Amino acid sequence: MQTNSKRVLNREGARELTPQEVVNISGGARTTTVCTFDPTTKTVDGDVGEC
Amino acid sequence: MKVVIVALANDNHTAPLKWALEQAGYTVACWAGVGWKEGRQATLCCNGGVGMVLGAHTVDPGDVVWIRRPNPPLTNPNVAAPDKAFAEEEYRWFSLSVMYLLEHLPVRCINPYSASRAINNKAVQLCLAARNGLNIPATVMTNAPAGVRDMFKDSSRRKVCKAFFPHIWKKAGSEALAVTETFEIAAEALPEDEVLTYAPAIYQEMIVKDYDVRMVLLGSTVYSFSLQTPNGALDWRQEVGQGQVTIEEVATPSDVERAVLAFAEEARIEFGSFDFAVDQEGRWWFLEVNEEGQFLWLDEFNPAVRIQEKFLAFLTLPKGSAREEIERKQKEFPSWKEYCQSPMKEQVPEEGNLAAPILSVEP
Repeated sequence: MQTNSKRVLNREGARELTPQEVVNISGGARTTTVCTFDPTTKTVDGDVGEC
Repeated sequence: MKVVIVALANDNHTAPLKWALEQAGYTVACWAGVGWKEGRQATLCCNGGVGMVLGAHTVDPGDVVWIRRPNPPLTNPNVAAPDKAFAEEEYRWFSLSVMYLLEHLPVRCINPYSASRAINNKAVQLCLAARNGLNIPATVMTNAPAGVRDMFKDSSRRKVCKAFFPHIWKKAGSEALAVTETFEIAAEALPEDEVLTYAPAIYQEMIVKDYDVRMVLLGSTVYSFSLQTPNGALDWRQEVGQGQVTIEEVATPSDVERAVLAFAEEARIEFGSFDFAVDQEGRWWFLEVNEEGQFLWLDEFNPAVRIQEKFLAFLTLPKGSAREEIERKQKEFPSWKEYCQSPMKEQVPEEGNLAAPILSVEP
């Protein structure tokens, strides 16, 4: 992990999702995950504490 | 007795559980939280006794109230602009009045709102966990650079960093996302002091784990499930999102069960989803608890779990019912799989909860 930017530490350690991973979590498979995020509608399905 | 669920009727857990309760002959009332529209209005009457009406439903003695996911108050958009701030504050205070009053009515609240708010705090969780006999990783929560560096002085143990609350960053003009997750960090990778003050964070000794455990607390009973990911992920949440997790029920060590029940008693919660890491010596380490945690995904990954039926048995049995009673009663309810195969599932409109508080757009 590179921490040479001025971003917060948790952004440096955040997980970058591949396009396929984004499709997987936003595919509307409700309740199959602890937290589903739909980047189109900017909505989450789940308790955000679980994301 | 009816079951009042404080959540939108199309919430991902409310819809299947309402359906299953009704299949078993129970009356269910859903109420999403205070709002200006008729279905979300509320009335409190304090006149000798106390009465409460939530939307079209009265709250009656003996009811079970599951505070699943109260929605933020919704103010009438037609309020005059100079009154908007006042109206929003009044709605907020009224909403809190409703939520905090519930636990003082002759009903069973799962969980009492005041308990939920307190235990939602990660520092409180770790304090109660340690006090009640659970192993916890050494942890520092700080925005002080000296505090961070002091934690990292001991290089004999690996460290992780995590956020207090999840967040998602979206690249402008792209579908690419970055989501917070627990990550390992070494002392030499720490940024300069000023950056450490940009946001407080949780720094924790890393547990080198054999596997993770999700435990579901149902009153005086706990059910534990091992979570195994192909690459032994440090944070399994995104692996679940990718469908890459194997779930099996595991026995809870008796000392862990005793400690969790003591924790729950002190926290005044009857229901919660606990996360543990189990190390290579078989020791269970408490990581966190979510008092509103999702649980039906356990049934999705392993239908033998039957957590939907267990939860509904717990909800409709008297407080403190034993494991045997829950497992006897659970047979009255249809399963998550049966819900998925029912026409009802297709009739429930998809939910959409505002993600704005956890979403940032970056260039």
